[in-house]
Amino acid sequence: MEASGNIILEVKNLSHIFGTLKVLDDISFDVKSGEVVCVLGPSGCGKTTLLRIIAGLMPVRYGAIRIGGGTTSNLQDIGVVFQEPRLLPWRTTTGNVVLPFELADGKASGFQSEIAEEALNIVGLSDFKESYPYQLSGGMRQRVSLARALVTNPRILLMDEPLTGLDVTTREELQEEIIRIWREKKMSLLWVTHDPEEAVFMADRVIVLSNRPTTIKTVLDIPISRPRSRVTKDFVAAEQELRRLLL
Amino acid sequence: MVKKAAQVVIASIIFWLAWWGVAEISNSALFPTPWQTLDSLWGILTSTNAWGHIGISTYRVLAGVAIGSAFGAIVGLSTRYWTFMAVAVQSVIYPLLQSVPTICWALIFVLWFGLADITPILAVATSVAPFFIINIWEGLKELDSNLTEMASGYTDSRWRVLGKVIMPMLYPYIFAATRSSLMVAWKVVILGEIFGAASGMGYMLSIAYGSYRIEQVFGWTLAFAIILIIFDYGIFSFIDRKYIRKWKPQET
Repeated sequence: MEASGNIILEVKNLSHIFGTLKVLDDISFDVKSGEVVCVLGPSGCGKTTLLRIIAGLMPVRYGAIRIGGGTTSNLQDIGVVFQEPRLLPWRTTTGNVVLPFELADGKASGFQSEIAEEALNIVGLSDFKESYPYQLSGGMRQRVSLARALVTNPRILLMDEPLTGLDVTTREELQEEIIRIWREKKMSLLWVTHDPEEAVFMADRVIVLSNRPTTIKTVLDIPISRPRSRVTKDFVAAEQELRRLLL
Repeated sequence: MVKKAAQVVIASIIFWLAWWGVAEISNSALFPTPWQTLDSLWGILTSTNAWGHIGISTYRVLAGVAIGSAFGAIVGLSTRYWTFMAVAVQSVIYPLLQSVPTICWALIFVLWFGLADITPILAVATSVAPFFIINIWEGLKELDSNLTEMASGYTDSRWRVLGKVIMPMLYPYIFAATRSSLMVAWKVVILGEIFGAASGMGYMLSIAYGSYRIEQVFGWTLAFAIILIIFDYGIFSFIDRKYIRKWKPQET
């Protein structure tokens, strides 16, 4: 596979508790450079909590997380795409995409503006640079959000069910595009989803979570060559297998 | 649009006619007709020092709103960062500012500072600060935490998150506060100037009042109303169209 072997993200014995409720119980896995790993689990199983802790948006209570070989998460090493696009409604597409630079450095340099423009070309929004979020469709907003995550050139993109809520056509179109971008950028993806089909389409490896308490039920390799077709026997078989594991 | 414009014209005509009618029926020297008032207004606006008084009142309004808004904004924003301030604002600062009548503040400031510019300015500041405190408070409660969370992923600087994400989210609230503030500020300034200043539109009103020149009182009142309307409709609808509407879906 594309994985070159060196580990980008390491999650070790991670547990988390909300009050008395144990939401994550001893989760350990890693993501290698250039690898797509999907975290698949039923709704409410703590997938998002796991991702938020990895993204540094919630503190690590028990266990450890190492990103890019270091213990402290370098903000530049990770990009996050949330379930909602989380765009600033008063900024244009371009304004939203340069936001990471403005937050990190005060203002975006000319070079950084070029990077933002490039990211918009990559996600196919070069004709919508001056549009405001309300003028864009749901799929386009999520593209803006993806471009924003790409500008810092992260080594790993954390995706929190980014395509949930989009219609099937848009979702499949974006899955294919994200795979194309992933190959171009040679980054790693950690992709949280509850959809077995999406997991099979995207992942090199699927981590299946169980519910209450959330543990890793099993890890399934998806050795299907890319580009993947959703109707091949292997694809359907892997999808069936994941569905069975989710029951 | 045309229909609305026509209704505005009709409403205005009815207002002027009603005024005229009441003035004619009362037939009293204490109730000038619209024409006498307009005549007096013209006399005021063409007199040598009128614009100076209008200017000084405007300056006091703007200075008072500037001080009051800065104070209110700092107090309002501080509630987000210090829980102590959240309690202090809720239990002491806001109730105090809100409940003490403006006239009391004005009297206190006259005693402290005499007939100086600072008296009406501070009276305005204390009366408008609560608008900013309460609006920013409300705005912070409605703050989209998804956006602040997204932003804090890119920086460790709270100032940048405040400047780039939180403040813009609060602009509609600050805008609303500024609008109500300016309306109140004009009224407070006039009141403050009547007994707390030796210049300004309120001072001129009090002179007209002291000399029983009722048409002058009406004239200044009309001038005052016109300025308020220009401020409100002119400036604010301009800001609203230019800076706020453009990123919001148009409701048609």
